[in-house]
Amino acid sequence: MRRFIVTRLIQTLVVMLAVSFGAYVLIGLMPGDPIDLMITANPAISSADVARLKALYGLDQPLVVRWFYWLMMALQGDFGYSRLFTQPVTDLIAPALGNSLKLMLASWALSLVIAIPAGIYAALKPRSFRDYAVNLSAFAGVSIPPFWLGLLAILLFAVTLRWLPAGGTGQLDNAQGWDALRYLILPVATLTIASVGSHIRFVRGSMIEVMRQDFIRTARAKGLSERAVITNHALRNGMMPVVTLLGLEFGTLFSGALITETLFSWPGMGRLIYNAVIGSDYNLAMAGLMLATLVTLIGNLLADLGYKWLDPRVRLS
Amino acid sequence: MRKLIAFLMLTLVTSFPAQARDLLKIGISGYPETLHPAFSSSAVQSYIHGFVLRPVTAFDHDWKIACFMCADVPSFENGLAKRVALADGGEGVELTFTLPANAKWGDGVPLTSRDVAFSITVGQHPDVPVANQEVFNRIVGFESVDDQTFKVTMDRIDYTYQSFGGVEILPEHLERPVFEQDPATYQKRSLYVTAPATPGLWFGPYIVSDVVTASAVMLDSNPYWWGQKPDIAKIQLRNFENTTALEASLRTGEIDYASGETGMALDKVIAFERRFTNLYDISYQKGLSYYHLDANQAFPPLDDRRVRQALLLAIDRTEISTKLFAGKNTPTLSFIHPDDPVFTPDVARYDFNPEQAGRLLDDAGWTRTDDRPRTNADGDVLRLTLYGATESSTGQLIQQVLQNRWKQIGVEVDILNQPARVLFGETLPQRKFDGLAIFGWLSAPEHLPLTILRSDQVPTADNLYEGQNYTGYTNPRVDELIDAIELELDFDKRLPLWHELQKIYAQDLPALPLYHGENGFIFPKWLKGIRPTGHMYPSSLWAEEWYIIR
Repeated sequence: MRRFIVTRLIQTLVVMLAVSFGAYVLIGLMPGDPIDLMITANPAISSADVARLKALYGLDQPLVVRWFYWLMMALQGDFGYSRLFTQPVTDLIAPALGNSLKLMLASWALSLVIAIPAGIYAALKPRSFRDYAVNLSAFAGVSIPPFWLGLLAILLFAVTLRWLPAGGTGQLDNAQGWDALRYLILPVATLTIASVGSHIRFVRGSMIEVMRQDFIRTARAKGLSERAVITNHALRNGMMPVVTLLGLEFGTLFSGALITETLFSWPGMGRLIYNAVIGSDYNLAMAGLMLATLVTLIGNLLADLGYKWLDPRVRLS
Repeated sequence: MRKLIAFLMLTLVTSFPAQARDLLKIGISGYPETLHPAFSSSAVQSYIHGFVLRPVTAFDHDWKIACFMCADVPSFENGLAKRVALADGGEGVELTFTLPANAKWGDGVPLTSRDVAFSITVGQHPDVPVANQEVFNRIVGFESVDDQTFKVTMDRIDYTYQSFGGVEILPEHLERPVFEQDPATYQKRSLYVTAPATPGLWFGPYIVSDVVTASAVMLDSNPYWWGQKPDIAKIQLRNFENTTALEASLRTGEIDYASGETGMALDKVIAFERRFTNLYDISYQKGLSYYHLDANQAFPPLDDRRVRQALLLAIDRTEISTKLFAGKNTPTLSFIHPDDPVFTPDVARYDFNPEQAGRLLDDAGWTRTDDRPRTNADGDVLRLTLYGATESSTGQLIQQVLQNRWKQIGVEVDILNQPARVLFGETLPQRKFDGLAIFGWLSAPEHLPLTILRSDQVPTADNLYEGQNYTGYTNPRVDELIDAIELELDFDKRLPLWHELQKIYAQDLPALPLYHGENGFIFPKWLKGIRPTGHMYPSSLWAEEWYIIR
């Protein structure tokens, strides 16, 4: 087990290095560097200004050299300053990460709380009315685009009924307790509806597969109650594919949800990374992307360890 | 159960934040890169600075240079401007400005000419990445006469000599120690970056009291403001990256006002007005954003003036105004706004006339039979590519109208939209657009299009893509006129030169004029006193005149 973890951590470092190079070069290859974008906003800037600014920002150096400088600084824990906000990158990422985690964890947890019982409920009687009903709801959730759902939610609950705020986190209104929670309801509901469908489908499919296995028939033959068969035997085995899904989704908790965050003016990681990439803010974009990469890799590692915990027969190698 | 639901509903409704009328919440679209006035410049930064800073001079509501931090605008007539001989043998101009005697920073420290001197020192330092150092490089001399009076010597005299724009005053007492510690890293360590809520950084009717990066800027009235006391005690500027969220927040009362300069697009405001005119006052302000089609003359047949004229004649710009903008954004004759003092209506006009357009194309060798696309003698089809920005929904609507109209005269059009950073970062500056491109410029009143029309401003690889003459337009007479206008100080003598320039522009059509964009402002009925300007100096520069009907 220890050898497996050490090997995976080394692999993680190699992948991080490769991703950092790829991401840096890709951002750099996009047309228009930060100074080009500045010229667009201010045609009065002279060519001498352009040359001076490019030299001051190091943009006159080859991409590989710039990446190497960035890497050396990052390895020392210095992710530099954001060009877009003239702030240390870490000062920008910390609050955005907190906001994204609040949003994503709430919708993730809510989605699982709904999906696991609903998936099991449907799987116990495949092709029954309740299976069709759960399936239909799941397909509806998967099919509705989050931006459309979010717009409808804003229109109904914020504009028409005025029950809930249309956007923001409540920080600007010094919202505390319940008032602050009200700002979470619409974005969390939107994200949950968008994700719960696929979770239900995974749980249902996995449970149907497990319920056909011989050991389930054996458990029933032993006279165990249906509840015991499901909770003690089927559920644990049925969760294996779900754990894979959750491991893959782990990274999204930290990288935010761009569309939902933009729609609800929620200052999270999705918006931050998107703005950084579009605005050629190398330091900010790289820090955000590397964090998302790291967390996704760790999520996958945890998923592998989860297999072992769920099924001791699994061998990690 | 019903009681529980009713209780929850009541809780939801009653816990909605109450609106306080000593606080004005303004929705803006975008957030500035920095609040430091010397670094970067954007519409949203200018809007925020309008509340908390004052330029020495700026354009007023009548589009004339006015003093904001000086007693009188310098001129040769009033003796505050003097011709001076420069050390290099050239001729410059010495301008004398007098700051308001009672001007103070937000911490009560007097604002003096030493602050101006410090600001110039910062701007001229080679290691400080100010966006537009050209402004500072033009200053070749500075003399602090006393606390209020200072003299600056500029390296040349041109018709804009009276303005002292571009130099924002910085607080020497707070920023000099930070600057002198290490000028190269001053941009990151300035108090404007590390502690923007420091009162002494600001000197407008408001000071910045709190900042939530990328989300909001909170303003309090400035206790040391020497001018008219603002009626509104606090202002919140909230950033919405999505105009739908901005509109929803306006309708729910989470914000009170959407600023026209940085808020909702015109088509959104028009749609909003149709539904909620009884709840809000809607106002439209003509602006200096010039929307046009740049025609790249490196690609035939756009090098033929007759083809460009035909394309403009085939566009029903009145229809675009009526159908897309409810009568706003009316057709324009050239790059000069009709309200600009140098405007002339006496230029070639291109009212919708597809028959004349067809004749011009026939003359240019592009003929058609039946309803098929036009071809030349070699059998090549007249096909153009029309570029635009993917972010501009308005531009895309217009593209479709143009495509349809041009098809009617036998011109095939392919629409190609690119992200703004690609279009403005590469395609236009490197002249890679093999056709026309739709976009807008924001300029100042009587703004000389030197970088846009002068023949030495065509960006090429050899000149490192300097200049904004993306169309590749060259006309020696236009070059002469631009130079003559720049050096002519007498407005009456300058005016005919401007008129001739507009006539040539309308005849040659390096770009096809569409309209000068209007801004839409949505005010709550209780908010009064906001006067949009239409130019790059925003209405927030007069925020002390805003008031609430209580």
